[in-house]
Amino acid sequence: MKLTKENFDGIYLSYFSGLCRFAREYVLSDQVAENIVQNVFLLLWERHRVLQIQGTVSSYLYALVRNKCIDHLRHQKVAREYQAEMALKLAALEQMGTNTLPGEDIEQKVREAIDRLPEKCREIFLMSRVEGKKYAQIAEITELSVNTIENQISIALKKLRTDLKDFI
Amino acid sequence: MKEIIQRYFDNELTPDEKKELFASLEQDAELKKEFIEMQNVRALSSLLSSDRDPISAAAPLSGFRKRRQILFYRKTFSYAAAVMLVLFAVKGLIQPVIPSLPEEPAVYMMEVSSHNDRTTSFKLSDGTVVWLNANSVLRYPNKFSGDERRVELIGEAFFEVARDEAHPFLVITNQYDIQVLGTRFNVFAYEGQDVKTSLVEGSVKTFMKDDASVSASLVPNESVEVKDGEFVKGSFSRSDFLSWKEGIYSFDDVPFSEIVSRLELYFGIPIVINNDNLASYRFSGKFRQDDGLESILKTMKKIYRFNMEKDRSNDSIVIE
Repeated sequence: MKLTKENFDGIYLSYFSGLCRFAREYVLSDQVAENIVQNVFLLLWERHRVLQIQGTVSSYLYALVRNKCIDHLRHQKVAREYQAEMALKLAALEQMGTNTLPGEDIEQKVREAIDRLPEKCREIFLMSRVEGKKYAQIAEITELSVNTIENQISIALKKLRTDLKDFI
Repeated sequence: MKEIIQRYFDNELTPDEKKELFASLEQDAELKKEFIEMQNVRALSSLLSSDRDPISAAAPLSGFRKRRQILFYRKTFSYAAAVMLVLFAVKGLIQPVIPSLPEEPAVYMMEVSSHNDRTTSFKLSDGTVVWLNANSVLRYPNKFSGDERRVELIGEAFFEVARDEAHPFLVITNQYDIQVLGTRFNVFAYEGQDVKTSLVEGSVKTFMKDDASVSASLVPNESVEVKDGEFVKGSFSRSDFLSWKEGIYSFDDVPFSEIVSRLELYFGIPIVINNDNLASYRFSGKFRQDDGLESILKTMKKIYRFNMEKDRSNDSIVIE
């Protein structure tokens, strides 16, 4: 897929929120995450005419955001109390994707893995991870106990960890 | 999965428990592996899109479009430098998925814009500290290279420049350029406004864009603006006008019209005053950025009664 002036805004709308959620898992601040993703889109906008993207735009975006988060974590001077935590986030991010081939579509792989989860488990998991709902809210919607929700999410994460082991 | 790891990600750990977890991760490689994999699984799964994503991205997109405009109209960056940067940057970007990152990351331009009508502060790669006032944008390279340290500003910023005589620090504004070696100073450079530089410590030199022979040197407590193509200096004794750094807007005996034009810049919302007496009425006071525009106006309303109405169609405020 080629990036053009015409489809740029559509791509922005489709991927901005997900990329922010992703970055937020590592940089621990909504504002920093949003700035990183915004900068990535700006970079892309400045160069969309000259870029040759291999693979899908989404995996390209994901790779850029990942690299920018690494840059951020490397250069961040944080208070001592956060140092250990930031070092872990950096280690996690540096490890992730090192086995991915250029152009491999991460989103597709993740989607497939999530599709393989049992239906109820998948629904609960998506409400939590993608829609950002609290366990208590999900419990109310599904009429299950918070404890069950916690268990289902734990099961989902365990399965995904096995399924996606080549990417994490 | 270890329960403690799940509880960490569910944000249920106390600071002490966190500390303990991080310490045990250092000792236990297996546990650390589990932590890292869980971290990455969570992040990857949050990449998936939801139906509501485009809705929550709408506001950021409009901010993004504004910045694209700024980018488009920018004439400040010299062509050669821009080409150099793009070359560097493209070199570093064509293969973003290569397994390991190069040790020396490529040079590319970064932008920080202050969201939420708030002051933000951050450090540049040379150790310079920047405070950015609301509704402002600073563009800078991720890493300074070459002879100069060059940044571009739209809006207001306070700089505490790290001393490096071999690499002058340059602030590019739409009216003139400011060169410093290591010092503390404020630059007021919102779009469509006369650019004002105020020096707190050290020394700075300003240069006219199209004619570098027109310049001005400042000593502490001096400020400079451009009037009719010339630099005109002034002085200041109080530093109230710098309190925006701490998130406070302070006005001392200032006409309402001037206060309002500042608020327009800070909050990015046009305000129309249809009352001449009110426009020239002088106010003194301090307002917290956090309180927001409407609350600031309401406070002033208590001193001098006026009506204000929000025009939802073009997102402006009318005061009568």
